[in-house]
Formats: sequence, C-alpha cells, structure tokens
Amino acid sequence: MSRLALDVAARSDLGRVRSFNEDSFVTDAERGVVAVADGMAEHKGADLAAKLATTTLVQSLIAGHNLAPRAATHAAFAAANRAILERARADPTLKGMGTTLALAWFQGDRVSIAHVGDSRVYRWRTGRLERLTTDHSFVQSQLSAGQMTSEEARVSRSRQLVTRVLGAEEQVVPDLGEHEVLPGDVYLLCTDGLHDLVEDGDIASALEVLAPNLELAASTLIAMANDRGGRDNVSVVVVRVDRRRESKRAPEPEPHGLFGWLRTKLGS
Amino acid sequence: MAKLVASRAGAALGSWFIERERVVIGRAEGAGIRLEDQAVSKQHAAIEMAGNDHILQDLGSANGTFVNGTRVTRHLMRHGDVVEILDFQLRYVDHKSVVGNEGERTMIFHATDADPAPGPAPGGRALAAEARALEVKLPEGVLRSAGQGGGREIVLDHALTALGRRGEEYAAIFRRPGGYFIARVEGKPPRVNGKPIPDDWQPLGAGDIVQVGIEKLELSLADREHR
Repeated sequence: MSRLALDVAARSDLGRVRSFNEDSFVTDAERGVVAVADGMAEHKGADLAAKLATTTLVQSLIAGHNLAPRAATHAAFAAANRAILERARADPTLKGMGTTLALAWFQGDRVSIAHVGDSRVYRWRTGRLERLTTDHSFVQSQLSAGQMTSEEARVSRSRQLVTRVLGAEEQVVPDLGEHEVLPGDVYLLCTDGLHDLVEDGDIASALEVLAPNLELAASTLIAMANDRGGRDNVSVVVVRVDRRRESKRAPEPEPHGLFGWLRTKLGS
Repeated sequence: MAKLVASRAGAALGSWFIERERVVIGRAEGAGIRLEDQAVSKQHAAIEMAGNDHILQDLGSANGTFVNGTRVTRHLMRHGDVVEILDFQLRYVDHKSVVGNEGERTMIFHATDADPAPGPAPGGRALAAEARALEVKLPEGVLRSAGQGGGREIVLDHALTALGRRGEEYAAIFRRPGGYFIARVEGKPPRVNGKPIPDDWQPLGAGDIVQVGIEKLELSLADREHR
C-alpha cells in the first residue's frame, strides 16, 4: 500500500470555435493512470483515434502490469498505435487519422511520464511549474535548433504542426521519463487547446491557488482557454498527490468472529 | 496564399504571390522580386518558408532591410508587416491569418513535405490580440479592508488571487476579460454583501463587500485610462 493518495479531476471542452470535440481523456485513480489525447484526421476519425488511444493504453497497461514500467509503457503506446492503424486499414474513410497521447502513470512514489505529439504534462511543486514533456512539434524543433525565438513561436502559424503522432507509422517511439512523486505535487495533463492560449504563469496560478479543489481547477483552466479565444478543443486532467491519512483507530474486529464463521459453516 | 504588395514612394508597383520555398528580393535579374535601383543589393533579402511561416532574411545587403521601421536581419512575417528596402515598400498580405470558423486543426508535419499546409491553417492571431485588448481594458481591481482594522490592500493583478486560509475558509478571485469573479475553494463559502455564494465563479462588482473568514474586504475598480 502506497503512502501517497491521488485525487483526480478531468474535463474536456469544445472550445469556442470548433463544432466537434476530437480530444479524449482517461482517468483511473485506482490504478494511478491518467492520459489525454488530441485526435486529428485527413477526413474523419479524429475523435475515434483519440478514443482508441486512451482506451487501448489503459487496457494494455492493465495487461502488462507485471512488466517493468518502461516496458509496459512502450508496449501500451505500441498497442494504441496498432489499434489506430488497424482500424484505419479496415475503413478507408478513416485513412490518415492519428492522435497525440500523454500519459502519467503513478506507481507508489514514482510516476512514469510518456508522450507522443504536443499534449503536455506539467508538474507544480513547491512554488514552481515545470514542464515534464517536450513537444513533438515543428515549432519545438525550430526552438531547439535555435531557428526560432520564443516570441516568434508564440505568433507562428506553424503551431498546429505536430511531428510525431500515433496512427501515422508502423513504429512509434514515445518519450519516456520517470520521476519521484512527493506529497503536495500537482500534475496537469493537457492538450494544446490549453497551452497554446494560456501562459505558463496563469496555469501555475490556477494549480497553486485552486489545488484544494481540483474540479474548480479543471473548469477554471478551461475557462481561461475559452476567455482567450478557445480556438481549439481543450482537455485537462489534474492530479493532486497527498500523504495518505493513517487510520488512528485499530481495525474493527471481525463482525461475527468465530461464531459467525461456525454459523455460516453449520448453516450451509 | 501570402503575397507582397509593392510600392515605391507611394506609387504602386504591383504584387507578387509567394509561391516558392524561397523567394529572393534584389536587383539581380534572376531575383523573384526585382527592385530596380542601384542602391538595392543584387541579392538583398529573401523570404523562406518554414513550416507554415514565412521568414524574411537580410542577405548582408549594403543598405539594410527594415520591417515596420526597424532594421532586421531575420524576421517572422505577420499579416500587415511592411518591408522597407530603401524607398521601396513591400506590404505582406496573408489571408490565412484570418481565422476560419473551424479554428486551428492539428496536422501532422512530415519533414519531406514541400508544403505542409494543405488544409485550413488560420493563424488566429486576431483572436489572441482581441483577448489581450480585453485584458488591457479591464479595470484594475483592488480589495481593501472594510470596517474595523483596515489597512490591508490586495491588488488583483494575477489571474487568480487566494483569500482566506488553506484547510479552513478559502476562496479565490478570478480575473477574467469580463471582470472579477469569486468562488469557494474549500471550507465555508465566502459571503458577498452578507450572503453566502453558490458554488462556482460568481461575478463581483465595484463596491461589493467580500467576506472570507473574519476578513471583510471591499472591491474597488479603477479605470486605468482615467487614473
């Protein structure tokens, strides 16, 4: 039993411009698995690709629970990629559908972070917001190569170009990271509908001030994106890590004790 | 498709669509955009495609390349930018920067694509600018101690401001383009003008008395332009 407890809230919104929501998220606090996906398509299937990714991811992680976290995560991303490719092969109208995927998998005092595309994982810890993922995007590659300044990145028309997704190629390699989890940490998973519009300072402010009320934190982050134009679907998952409260009382005695057991046995 | 609309000393010279990966501006005969003047360098500047962006670069010209009055060596072009080379003016017109009704679609960028933007790729800058404009117009909110004690002043200059104490009565003020809002975060709900508020963000107006725990604060709004 872990000494840490997770509290989770999630929300997805159309935004103010789009007419379909092509994002998907999954939260399984019991297993410590949370993920977001942002689907895209040439014709149709964007929402399906995102949904296939999050559901296949969770199924595969459950199936691979006795593998090491890295191996299980790799296998789960591969399975999600395969599920999308296979569905697109079976139905030509779905050709070209794909999705981003960002995962945080909490296991005791460790968290495995994995992603493909430009959905992100942030961590708020002791007054600082840190991004735990590096976008697979054209703008990020330009930034990393020193070809673009951060000011240019903010106004670039290339912001919606992703360079790695699930559903595009036979093999996909997620970026993997493992981090220590501390009580008080707040994690945020989001699609670009949030981070493209809401600056890190405002994200930090929401996580800091609203941490005790995760439902409010999630809806407020969405409101911030919509207040700034809501140009895209926006999905957020927020996770707060608390020290598990130790029960001070001794465990309750068995309700029926030996007599209950005897009664059951004899009565049958 | 973006284009450059050229003029010299106020007289129109015509316009060029930027169709190729790289277009050279200069005096040379082979230049994509030819500016005929001895003071213009043969290869003066170039516009290159990078992703969905056009990047202007000065090619080491003798007399410099200016954008909106500032000398540049490299510049990411935005709709409405004016490139100046001596007394030539090239206005950058980009219809893609007008936001479509479906917003921005995420697309897969393949490194081999000549043109990675076959679909709608609106810039959406107009909306971002609009959001910033709203932000600027929002009056500055300040909470001041009401009643006895006094002295405390909280300037609401962040997106969110916490009031009260964690784990007890705890509320937050949310600064939005449409004004200031208050919500309970945990504990008993805050009171506005004596009444406990329902859950989720509730609008606040000038003169409202906000009570969190034992603290009583009055919201004042000051129009920045008249200060």
